Amino acid sequence: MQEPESHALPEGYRLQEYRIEKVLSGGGFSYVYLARNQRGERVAIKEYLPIALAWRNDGDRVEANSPENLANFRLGLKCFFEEGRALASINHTNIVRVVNFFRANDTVYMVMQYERGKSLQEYIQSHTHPAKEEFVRRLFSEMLNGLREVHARKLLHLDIKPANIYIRLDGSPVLLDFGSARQTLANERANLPLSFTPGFASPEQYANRKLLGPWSDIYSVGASMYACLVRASPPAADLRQHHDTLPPATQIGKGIYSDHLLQIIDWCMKLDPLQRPQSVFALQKALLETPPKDKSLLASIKRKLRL
Amino acid sequence: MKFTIHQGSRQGPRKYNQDRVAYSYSRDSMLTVLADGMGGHSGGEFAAQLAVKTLTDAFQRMALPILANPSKFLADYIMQVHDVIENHVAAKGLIDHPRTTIVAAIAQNDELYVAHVGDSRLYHLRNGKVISRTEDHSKVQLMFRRGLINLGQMAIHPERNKIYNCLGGDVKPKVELSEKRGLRDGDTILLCSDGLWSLVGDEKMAEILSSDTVNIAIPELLDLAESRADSKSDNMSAIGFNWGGTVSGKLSVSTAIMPLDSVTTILMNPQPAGDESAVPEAATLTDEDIEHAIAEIQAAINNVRK
Repeated sequence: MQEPESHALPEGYRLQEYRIEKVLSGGGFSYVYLARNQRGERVAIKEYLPIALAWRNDGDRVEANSPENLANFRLGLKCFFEEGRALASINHTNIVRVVNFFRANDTVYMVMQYERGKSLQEYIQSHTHPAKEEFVRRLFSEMLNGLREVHARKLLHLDIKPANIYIRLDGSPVLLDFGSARQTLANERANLPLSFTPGFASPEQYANRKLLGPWSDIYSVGASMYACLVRASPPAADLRQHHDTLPPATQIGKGIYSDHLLQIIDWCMKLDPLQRPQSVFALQKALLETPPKDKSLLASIKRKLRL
Repeated sequence: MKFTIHQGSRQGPRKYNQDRVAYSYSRDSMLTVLADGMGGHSGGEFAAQLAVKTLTDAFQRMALPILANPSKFLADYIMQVHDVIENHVAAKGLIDHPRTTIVAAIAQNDELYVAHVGDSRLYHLRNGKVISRTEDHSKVQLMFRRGLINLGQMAIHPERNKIYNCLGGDVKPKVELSEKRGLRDGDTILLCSDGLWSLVGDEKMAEILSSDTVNIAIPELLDLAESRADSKSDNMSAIGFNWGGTVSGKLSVSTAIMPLDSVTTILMNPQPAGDESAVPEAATLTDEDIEHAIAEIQAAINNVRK
């Protein structure tokens, strides 16, 4: 095997006023680097480099990998701008902050605040039991505060999943990666390869994109809560439509979460967009309701003894 | 793991594109898959889409970062596609069965595992020559094997499009697993539908594929097939990769930095022919537009900060 040759900018690379420390993620539409600014503060820098359409040439510059892909490379650039515009205008504690945006190396860069903590996916994987109900309710209702802000600007996230929900050291959630948000804004017929996450994407993301709406993000929120319960990805929505093998949360989560929360999860994951909560507000309201008290004696004793 | 990959599909003269291509890779393993659907408009698309999705979904779940048993993976999940179609046909009481061919390959540890059903092919090229390709499950291939017709007659036989083995048909399919093959740096693998190989001979295919990396060579192959297509031609699709570091030193994907539990999947949604309005518009994005967009974003950032 040869020495692996990375496409990413190397450690120590000076990118304007930033110094690259390491690659946080790569592949797909962009690279994300951990970097420091001149004051030594950490930031995350996202570089537009869609690997299916472009590569880095012998210098540092990014160029389309074939004449055929040049137009699509530029189209993707437009989408990267849409993501930047969307995020730059939002100042919300539960939404990742954009602090700078610039052009270099024939591509564009978005600088975001770097948050310490871990993703919900890492959280789920590091535990051997389903996340606690109180944790799920609190984390998601807080995250939904941010999502409301996004929807209020007529944007959809379209890639909500445990890997994109970051949990800060103080426990508060931050919604990351608005890379798919473009898909609502850019031309529907764009010839960009769609990149989404099966299991979390709503059925309308596969089939009829005209039906996209807040309820599509709500499906993904439901699937993320479902993942907290079963500690795995649910089956892909397009397969569910042909042959639904998803056991209802109310069935497999019995005794783990209250029936009330399980019903909310199933409600969010309805295949028919109209049968899901129609707004983030409706879902948030449901999540913040206290579950009806279990009236059995045993349950109340257990509660008192905190078992 | 390093490779350069490209996929493409052309609708040709048909009203629909029922070909589907996709690939998925983890740090140490890669799946490429191509399916050519049949059986009425929505049926064929359904079957082909189901085929590529079933394999990519399973790959995403299991290749963390390699598959323990790639041959078994291919055999099991290809049969699962058939079973799901069968259940679907039974549940909906369909008369016209959605059917599809499939060809899929797993590359890991410098080895290639191939499975196919029907007449979609995989070509393995080394040093400019085809060193192996899958054998079609077609009527003419059987007749050729039995010595009833020769190669020339195969290419023009009126029933050359008939296949006896597919997913979703009345007869239980037989998944053909090829022997595990070694992959060397510089090898090229191409998976394609009959719409492409029937219009470009093996020799021409080898010539074009060895002239450049797949991101250049595959569009060229598709261009050539398209230029030769007539009103009876089929959808033309291909997905292929150059293994390892490439001749030009350029490279599309290095998975060295990918975490162990992450998988990237790219499904290609076919674009209806003649519907290219989005592209010219985007192509006109000028330097000025780019500067303007950046200025706007900068302004928004500063506004929010205040």
